[in-house]
Amino acid sequence: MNRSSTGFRRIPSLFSMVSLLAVLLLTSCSRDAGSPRAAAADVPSISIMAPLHFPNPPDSGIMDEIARLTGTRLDIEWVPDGIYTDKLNTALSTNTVKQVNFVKRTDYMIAKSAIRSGAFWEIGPYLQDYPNLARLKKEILEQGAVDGKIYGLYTERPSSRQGLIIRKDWLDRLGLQPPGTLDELYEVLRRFTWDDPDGNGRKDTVGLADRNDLVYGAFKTLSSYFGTPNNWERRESTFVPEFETQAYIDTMDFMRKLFREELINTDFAITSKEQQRDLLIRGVAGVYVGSMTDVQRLLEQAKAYNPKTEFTLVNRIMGPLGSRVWSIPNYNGLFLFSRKTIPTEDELKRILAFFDRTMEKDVSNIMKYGIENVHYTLSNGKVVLPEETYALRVSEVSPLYTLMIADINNPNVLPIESHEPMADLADRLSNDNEKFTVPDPTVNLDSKTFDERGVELTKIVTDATYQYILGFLDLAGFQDQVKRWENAGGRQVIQEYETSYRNQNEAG
Amino acid sequence: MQAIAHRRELKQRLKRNKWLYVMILPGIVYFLIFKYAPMYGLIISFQDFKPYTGIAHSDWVGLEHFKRLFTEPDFWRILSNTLILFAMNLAFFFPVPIILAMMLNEVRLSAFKRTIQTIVYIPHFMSWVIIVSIGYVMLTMDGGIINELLVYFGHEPINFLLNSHWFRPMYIYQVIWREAGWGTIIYLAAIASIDPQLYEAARMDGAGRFRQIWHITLPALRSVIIVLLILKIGDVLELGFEHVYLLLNSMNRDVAEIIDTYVYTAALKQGQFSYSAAIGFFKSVIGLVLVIAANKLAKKMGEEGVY
Repeated sequence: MNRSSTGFRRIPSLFSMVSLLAVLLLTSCSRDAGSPRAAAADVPSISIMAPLHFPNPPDSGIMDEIARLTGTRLDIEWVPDGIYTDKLNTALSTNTVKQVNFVKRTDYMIAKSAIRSGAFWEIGPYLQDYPNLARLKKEILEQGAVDGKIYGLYTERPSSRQGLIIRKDWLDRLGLQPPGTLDELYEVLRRFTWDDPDGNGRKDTVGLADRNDLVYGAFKTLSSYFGTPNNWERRESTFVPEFETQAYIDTMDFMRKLFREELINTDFAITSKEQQRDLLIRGVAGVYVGSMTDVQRLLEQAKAYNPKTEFTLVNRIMGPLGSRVWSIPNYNGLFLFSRKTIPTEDELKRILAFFDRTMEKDVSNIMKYGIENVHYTLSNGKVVLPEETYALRVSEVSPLYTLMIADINNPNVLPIESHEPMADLADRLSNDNEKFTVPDPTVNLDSKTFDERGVELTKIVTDATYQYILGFLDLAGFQDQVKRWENAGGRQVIQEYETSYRNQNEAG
Repeated sequence: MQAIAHRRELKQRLKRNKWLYVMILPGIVYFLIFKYAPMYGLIISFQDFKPYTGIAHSDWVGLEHFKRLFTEPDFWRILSNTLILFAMNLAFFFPVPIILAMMLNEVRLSAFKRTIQTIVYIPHFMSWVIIVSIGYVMLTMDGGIINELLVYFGHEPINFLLNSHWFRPMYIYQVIWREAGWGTIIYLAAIASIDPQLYEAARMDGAGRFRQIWHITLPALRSVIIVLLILKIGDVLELGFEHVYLLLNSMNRDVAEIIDTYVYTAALKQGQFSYSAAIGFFKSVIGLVLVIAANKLAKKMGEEGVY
């Protein structure tokens, strides 16, 4: 059954590739022949590089509709999300960027040096000339600023979608309640592992499915529950990295216990996201810690495997400091505008006008929901997303969401009346998260050392954390590695944040 | 006077051998365009290179990047990891194709020999991603077949993938599995060129199979082996970035981080092109020194060498 579901997913992607090829052939033919279609090619175009989070790019019919409404043809290079960072890096290093380039928030430090060398337009001064762009949120724009200048248009995201996805049918079978505290969570994981929650009489399940990612895997979210700060803690005018707090150690001890008692997939330190999802889909693991909005797709896939699968979501786990969850700075990436491929100011203005146009009612709703009566219906001016169109929306519309700037606070985007119950719950709990988010105190601050050596520095601590959890390091050994981090540049990072913080406070 | 005579002689020689020079031309052009011209890029290892400003307008920083490399706390560990892996490669992988080629040569049944040959070539055409994934599936603690077998025979399961002691054996084993068969090609060709009369004569003198291998096949292969060894040493630091990077994880980094992976994570991922160019430069220098040394050694031992 599982196989048929992946096969099903592959077919549309093959179709879309064939149709893409057909489109390419047609356009190139028409250009050569100078046929009537050449007129359509005269519509000015914008080249964009953006990540693709779904198996295939959006439907060409929708792209045509957007081109018709905006008078702009989009020439998008869709890059699979998994290799996006590498692709961006290559584009930056070979100076072969598109006109508009999406940069993920987590990759921002790679782009910063290019920004500082003048590779991208500073767009801050232009924004006020456009009705929609003028209404962009100042706080978010400034969070993405480099040396106080604004370079990017942001894609808006809720500040925290982190939570737990749990097998509801397993909880019910074992007579358990969804966990509300860390002890209850441990209990759920223990019983999911040992008490045969799938009722097949064999010990073939495990509590938690985790992966090789300390941030978007389980670790960081669990660490929030334990009271760990989000990357940094500001104490007076100095900064303490999260891994020098007791709560971080407590989280590692918790994970270490899970590992020793085999309540987690043993190879989590080298498990990929696909493998992790697979553990949940195949009914091997019962708990997933991560983005709660993943639940709908997980459920669709898990149902294909075992129709009895049910999930529930939990976002409040009480820890020593109450309910807490780490947050991102409300955007997940920026569109940057290349100076090389956008040679003139007029061209830049045209492209900004396009982005401004995408925030209007007609275009923004197409980008978010698709086409009325095909992908959604309207009821009392609100959007109804029927479960039947789910697969269609995923394959035709969803990838476009990456291109939407500032949609959450855009009044032109229609509110949702109803959609799949699980997606609905995920949205509600994400909103609930807003009440107790823990922001990163350094998001507005600059550290040159971190921009240059952050990957390397983070690696030291990431490795040490895994080694501690797996029992290769003891506490003293872990602290030695933290010392190593300090000596390799960590201390400089702290100093630079302090300076940057002082400067901002004096200026403000 | 002498200079003029000399020049005339040169001219004459050029004229006499002009077709030979024409024939060598494509080779020279190839090396100029694809090997020498790109070396211009080494300039960036002395600059603070930014792609947008280009080589012409980036700031000059002198030996800054080399200083950083040599003072990096992890530098010696990474260098020694690289050299150890290389030494293991020489010691354990290099002899395998030779032995395999000699074994194949002794196979009588031609059809059987060809089948085996084809089968041992096949892994060479698989990418490292596939080989490492197969390794992962077999060695994982969560239901990998090797660990299932160990448990079945009453042994404790071994965490091959997350243990730094197992990284090097795993690496060498995978290299042998993928490349050994392919490596036999040159040796088999060399063996095929040995005069069969030598074997006949040896048999007349009462030499058995092992004597024939020892006194005829191996000495005939000697020069091929030495040339390949020198070339291999030239590639000293080409341990296969892809392969090592795929095997690398938080648990085995202290033995698995080699220069190539370090360049990728520390420099390229953070857009530090100058720093990565400096490391690459350093790596090439080591390679050059080793090739020259190996070549000298080969000549001392009375062999031809590569130049």
